[in-house]
Amino acid sequence: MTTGENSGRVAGECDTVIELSDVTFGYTAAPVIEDVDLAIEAGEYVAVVGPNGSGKSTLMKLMLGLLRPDEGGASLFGEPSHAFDDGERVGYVSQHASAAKEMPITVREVVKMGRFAHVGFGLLSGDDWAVVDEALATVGMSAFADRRITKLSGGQRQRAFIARALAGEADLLVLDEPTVGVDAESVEAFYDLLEALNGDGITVLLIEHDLGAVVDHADRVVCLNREVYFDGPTDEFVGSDALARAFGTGGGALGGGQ
Amino acid sequence: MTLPTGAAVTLASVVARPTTASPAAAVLQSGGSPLDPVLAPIYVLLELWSLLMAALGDATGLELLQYGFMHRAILVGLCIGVMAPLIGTFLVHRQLALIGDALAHTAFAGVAVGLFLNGVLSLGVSPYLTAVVVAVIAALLIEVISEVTDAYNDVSMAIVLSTGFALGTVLISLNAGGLAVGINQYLFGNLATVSAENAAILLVLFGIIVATVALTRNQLLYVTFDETAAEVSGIHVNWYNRVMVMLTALVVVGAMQIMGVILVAAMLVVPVAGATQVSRSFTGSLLTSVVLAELAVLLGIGFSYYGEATAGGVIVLVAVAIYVVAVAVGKLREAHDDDGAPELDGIDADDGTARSRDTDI
Repeated sequence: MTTGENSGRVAGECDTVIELSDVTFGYTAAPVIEDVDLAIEAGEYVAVVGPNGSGKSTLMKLMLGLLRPDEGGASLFGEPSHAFDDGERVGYVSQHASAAKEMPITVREVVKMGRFAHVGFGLLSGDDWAVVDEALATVGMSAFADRRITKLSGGQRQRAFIARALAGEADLLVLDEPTVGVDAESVEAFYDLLEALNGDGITVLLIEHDLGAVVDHADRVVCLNREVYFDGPTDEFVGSDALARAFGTGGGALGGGQ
Repeated sequence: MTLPTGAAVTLASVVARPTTASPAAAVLQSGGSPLDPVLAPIYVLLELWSLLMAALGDATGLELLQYGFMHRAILVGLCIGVMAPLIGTFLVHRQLALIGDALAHTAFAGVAVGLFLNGVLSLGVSPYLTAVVVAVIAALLIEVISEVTDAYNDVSMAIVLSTGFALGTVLISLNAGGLAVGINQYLFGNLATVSAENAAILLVLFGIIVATVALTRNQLLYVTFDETAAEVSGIHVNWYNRVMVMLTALVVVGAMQIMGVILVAAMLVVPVAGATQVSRSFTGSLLTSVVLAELAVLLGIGFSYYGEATAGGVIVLVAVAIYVVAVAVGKLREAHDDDGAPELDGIDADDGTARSRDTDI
């Protein structure tokens, strides 16, 4: 992968990848996100944690410009998030795709989508296909390239989705609870991959429910429940009472992998 | 010439310009419409097609290839066999199969508007053209409702569907007389009433639909498969959703001539459902659905001609029969698939090279 180039580009152009200033947002009158200030720098590995309904996914959408704040400002690579259109710089991995479960589509066709931000209306060139094949190899899915994605296990499917993000040669990887329904062994391999990619300079933003995984892998934790309860290094998070306050419990969820 | 009974009745009562076996005569008879200057080059293409079909008829001795109206019906059928599954593939996998039905019923309202305008103002506009306009407006309406409410919902589609059909029936009843007689043509479709002008309109719609899908295939695929990821990658999802519903409206109106309002949505869905059973890749399923649809259209037209039955109904029955076979083939293939999963390579982000590991992950 040309991750080295990517990180160089980020460092050269803009060190702050995501910035939220005093962001408040609500789907109704009641805010889901309130007064959130947050800046993510290039090359960071940040996990956003919080209980169900805490606004994690909403926060991600605000960061990526999929939603516009009611108050405050959101920027992505130095541009207002809602106006940001350099889609090739952002790779997105979700829990599942929105298509019908029985949609016939191969792993290679899914990974190919990562190149669409680069080719637009055109055809994929030989170089584009080489990047697709390289992304498949990176996640260890070359042998599955021509398999129908719906016939794969949850872990294999997530690998395909991360390969799609890699094929886009993105500077920023955003993952929204990517390991839901994935077996434990695949989860470990998945996080190893994220860590390696982050080592190569890719900024990683992980929205995660599994606190154990977050503590083991992320460098920085943002604990959210409508507002930010904690924002700092992971080891400080483990010793803090932010978890108990945000979750409204004794913090027993830590390491629970729920 | 042995016409299906129903076809002969509607042919006599509905078509302003009776179809004939001679392509040249068909061209002449298309005179009088305000669209003629625009469609003139397409009439030439239709004439060439008719000559080709006539030659094929002479070579094979097939009776149904002896008539000009059948030449046009076959051409329209072949176009439907490409464009309906082409758009249907994107709709079905987004679980939007019902949208075709809703738009077909609004297209019916458009037909009624055209008949009404022709009756009251003597405009001489093809009702299929007004159907295009009304269906496209309805398509945009459905899309805007879904954008505002953040979801395509069955209720809004059902409301649009019923409103379209109600508007159509009211307009037709207001404008009763000769018009009500021919309404079966629009409800059930008819091989014999595909005029040169309507065939030309369909070819224009076909060109627009195929060219748009060819141009935007990457974006449509991404939006279909993973809307959020597509949006993050910079694709303006709402715009492509609007393009998709407008293309659906065009397909529905185009296919309505043969399929009729009530059955037109079947061609968007049934061949795609069949192809989904036997295909592994998206490209493969697209091509397979077109092949299955063409098979249904050609066999259906043949059966309906010789069996003197309504073409739309026969085509859908053939399509459903093909779907049943596809399900059986899909299940058999699944049962016999050894499914020997390949070795999963280990993950390696350091140098982009996958290595085999002893233990799978």
